[in-house]
Amino acid sequence: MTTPMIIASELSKSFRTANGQPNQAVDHISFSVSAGEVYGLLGPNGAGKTTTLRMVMGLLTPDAGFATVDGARTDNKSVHKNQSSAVLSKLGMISTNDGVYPWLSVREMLSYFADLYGVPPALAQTRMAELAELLDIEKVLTQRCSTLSTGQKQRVTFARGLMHDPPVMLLDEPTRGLDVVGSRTVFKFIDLLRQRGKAILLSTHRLDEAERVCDRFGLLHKGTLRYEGTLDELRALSGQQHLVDMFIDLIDQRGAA
Amino acid sequence: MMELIRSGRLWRMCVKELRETLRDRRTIFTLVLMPLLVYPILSLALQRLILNSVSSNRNETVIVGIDSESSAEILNQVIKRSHELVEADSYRSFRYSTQENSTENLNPSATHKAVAWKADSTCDWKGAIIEKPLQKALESGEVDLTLTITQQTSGRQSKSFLFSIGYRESDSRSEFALVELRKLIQTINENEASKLRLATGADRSSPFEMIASAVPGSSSIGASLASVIPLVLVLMTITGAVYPAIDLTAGERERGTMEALIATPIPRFALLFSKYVAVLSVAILTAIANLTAMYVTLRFSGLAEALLGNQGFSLLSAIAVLPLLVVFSAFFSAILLALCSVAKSFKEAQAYLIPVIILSMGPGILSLLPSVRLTGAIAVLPLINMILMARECLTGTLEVIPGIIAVSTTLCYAVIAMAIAAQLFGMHAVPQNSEVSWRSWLRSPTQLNRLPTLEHLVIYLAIFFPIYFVAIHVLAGFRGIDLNLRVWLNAMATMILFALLPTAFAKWRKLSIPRTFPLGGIASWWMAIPGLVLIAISMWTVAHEILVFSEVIGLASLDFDKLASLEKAKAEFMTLPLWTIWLAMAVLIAVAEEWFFRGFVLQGMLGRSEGARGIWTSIILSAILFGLFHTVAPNLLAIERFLPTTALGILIGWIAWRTGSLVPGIFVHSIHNGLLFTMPRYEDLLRQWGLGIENQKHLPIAWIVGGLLCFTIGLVIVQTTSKTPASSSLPKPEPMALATGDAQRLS
Repeated sequence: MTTPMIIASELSKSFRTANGQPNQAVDHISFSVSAGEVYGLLGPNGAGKTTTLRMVMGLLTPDAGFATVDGARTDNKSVHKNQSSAVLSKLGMISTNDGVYPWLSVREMLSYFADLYGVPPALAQTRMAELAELLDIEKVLTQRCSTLSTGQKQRVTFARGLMHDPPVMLLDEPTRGLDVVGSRTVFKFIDLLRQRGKAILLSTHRLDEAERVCDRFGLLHKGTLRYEGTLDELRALSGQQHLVDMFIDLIDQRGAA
Repeated sequence: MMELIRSGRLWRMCVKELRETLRDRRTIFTLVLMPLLVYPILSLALQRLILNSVSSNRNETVIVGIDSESSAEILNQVIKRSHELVEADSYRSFRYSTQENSTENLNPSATHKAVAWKADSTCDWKGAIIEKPLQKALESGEVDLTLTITQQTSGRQSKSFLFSIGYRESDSRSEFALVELRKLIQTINENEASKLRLATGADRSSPFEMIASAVPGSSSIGASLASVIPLVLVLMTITGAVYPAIDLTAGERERGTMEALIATPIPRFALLFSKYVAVLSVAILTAIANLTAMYVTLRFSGLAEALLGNQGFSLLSAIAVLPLLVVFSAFFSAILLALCSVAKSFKEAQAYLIPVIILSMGPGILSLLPSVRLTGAIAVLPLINMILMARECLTGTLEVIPGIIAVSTTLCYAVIAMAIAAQLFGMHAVPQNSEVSWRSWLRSPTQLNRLPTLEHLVIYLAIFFPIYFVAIHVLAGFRGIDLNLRVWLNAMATMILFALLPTAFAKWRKLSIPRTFPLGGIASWWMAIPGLVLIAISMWTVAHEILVFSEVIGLASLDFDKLASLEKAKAEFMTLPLWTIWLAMAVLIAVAEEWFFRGFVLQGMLGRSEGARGIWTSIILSAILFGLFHTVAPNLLAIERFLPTTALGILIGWIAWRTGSLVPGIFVHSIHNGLLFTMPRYEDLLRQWGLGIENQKHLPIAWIVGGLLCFTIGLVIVQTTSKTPASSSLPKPEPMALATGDAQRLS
């Protein structure tokens, strides 16, 4: 078995709410993702998916626990300054919240991010051409980002996250706001990334699509990981055939308890 | 960072930010449209204001203070006659009356008789015969002009009158009255001259001569309006920078691009820097656009002379104001970025900026007062110093030293603001992250930084320099008080500024105190003590020769053919007890300066340097800083102090590095200072030894040789006995490379 590309170990994070009460957003979550594997982090809104991803990314410092990417810890930047920048180059993050620069053309924006990741300009051009073809954004490369449709924006965001060809991808709700066709394109693309051997951590609430694309799942609810495993393992654990039903059970259980 | 610059990435990042900003219509709006709109409107308003003040002169009465009734009658005749001449075709009589005490415009307390003339053209004249000194009435604004007429006899039967006129300088009303009176007199003179030429063919001097003398104007509309120009320029520059600053920080967050940006491996400071460059560029472009628009408007509306006096608004002075606006932009862009870096959204950023902009109007309006001038303490105040400097630049009254202070402190503030912005930028990239706030900048860092970094040094200097500046000015203000007290105050202030503050800063930033200010390790350097003693007692000879040398190469601004520039106050210093001199002027000062320059500055630099070259670079750079600080004196730059102090800094820096402790340096520095201040006391004795220090430039050759010998032996002893670097605070040297070159290099 290969060593996991992503390891989350006992990650915890609490936020203070507006009235000063601590709110445990993520509570001792552990999981791992290997190369060529898609791990679905599933859960209703507010379950702690985004917070988990951000801690894996190193954008948030966990209260407890840690995450590693390709063996290097992502927390505590200032101590491991150089290491952290090496870790960041291995990561690609794509999120629904991601925006585009309205006044830059798609090409300018992609080149800019490639530059930030230190991709040599020549390589960036070939990669951009390749990604543009894969994601069907060749025609809009010269357009200003403000003129793009939602689906186009989403695909440009994908291209942006892949300009430095990271071995690890973190996808936060990549299909939110997209129609069925759009979502399907995205999930096809995720499948392609898997075939290329990337380790993918995906958070979504599109359970039907997730069922098809993910190799393993973690079911999050109120900051804790309820179930973890392959679809078959989950079925055995929960006694339900589909993720949707498992979810409803999960939420009901909590409601009843 | 260096790698980013070398690979051109930083440049490309800046280009991206600038491109993004300049493509935005809203930037273009403030950049192009605003100046096009504002200045014509502004000039119309100003023109109204000035025209009102000038045209009101025409309608109102000009009051002339006159010394005697006979003079008043002569003036009356002059006015009458010249009007007759001017309007020869349509002669109209004067209404002329003599009234007792009917001058409602005049100060009722003044005792005078008033004579009023009423002319139909140009302006009305009113004469006031004043018994108190005329000049006072003029200065207080009671009268617009003063007139004394003396009769001169020249030639046989011809009489001429000398009109001595007083007016208020740069007071439009008074100057207008002067011009009008001159016109009247010239009219008569020309007429008389031509009559005479016709009659006799002779050309003769004029019957009326005129001498005008000015008193400084007290409240001139022009002088105060001169500040309007820089004020408007500064405010417009702010306006130009505000939008890009918000857009590139809070806007980035609002668009949802911030998180992706922060997730890249690029250092946050590089991101912030590229944004700073973009904001600064737009601010400068705005400044140029506004300056151009203002220049054109003022030039062609003829307002320049009214605002700025006779020299007007030359292209040269417009160009001279531009660098000031650039400095100001550097400062304000950093402030804006620091503020906007905290904001999560456009609205939040605007909410932060509005109070700041209103606050900055305050000092701006203060600068409109003509009595506020760019001097020591005001030169340190941000914003107002730039406006005042620009005003004095325009009116040609700028002084060099306050100017340098204003620019350097403003740049210091820019550095502080950037340091704050660097801490805050990207903190809220992740929403609902409650762990950061403004307070987080003030919080002590969690991990232990062992030695001061360059960043610490820059931040500290930026905070420290303005304080230092104010402090030396405050101390200079104590001239009147007892010398003994002043010396002690100075020592205390030096201790606080150079020892206490750096220590507090080091504690706050969790620096290692024993490593930043190493004091121990006598075990490693006690053998060097004889060498230190030799250096300490002979160093003044070297310092003196360097002082002489710096005069030779022109690095001198004072008369300094004295060993210590304190010679002037020598007699005064003689009264001080010797122990005061040694403690307050030698030891305490040495402790404080060593603490900062060889501790905080040098140790931090040494901690980051490798190899002989790195170590020498650190020593020399810290010494240059040491030298530069000594050139800053109240209201003057003591340039001649630079070379000797820098040399002293290099020497003691080297000692501190060799011994790994501040103590030997403090010892040498104290003895050296002490000797310099004690020597004048034994002048007679020294003279017996052939050392008339103040009389000759070079020391006697025997003294130079002896001093150098002593000094060199001292260096060799220190070099050979100190075991470099014994203390853990010092880096490993390359022993061979250094061991050979040191002594020669210093001697």
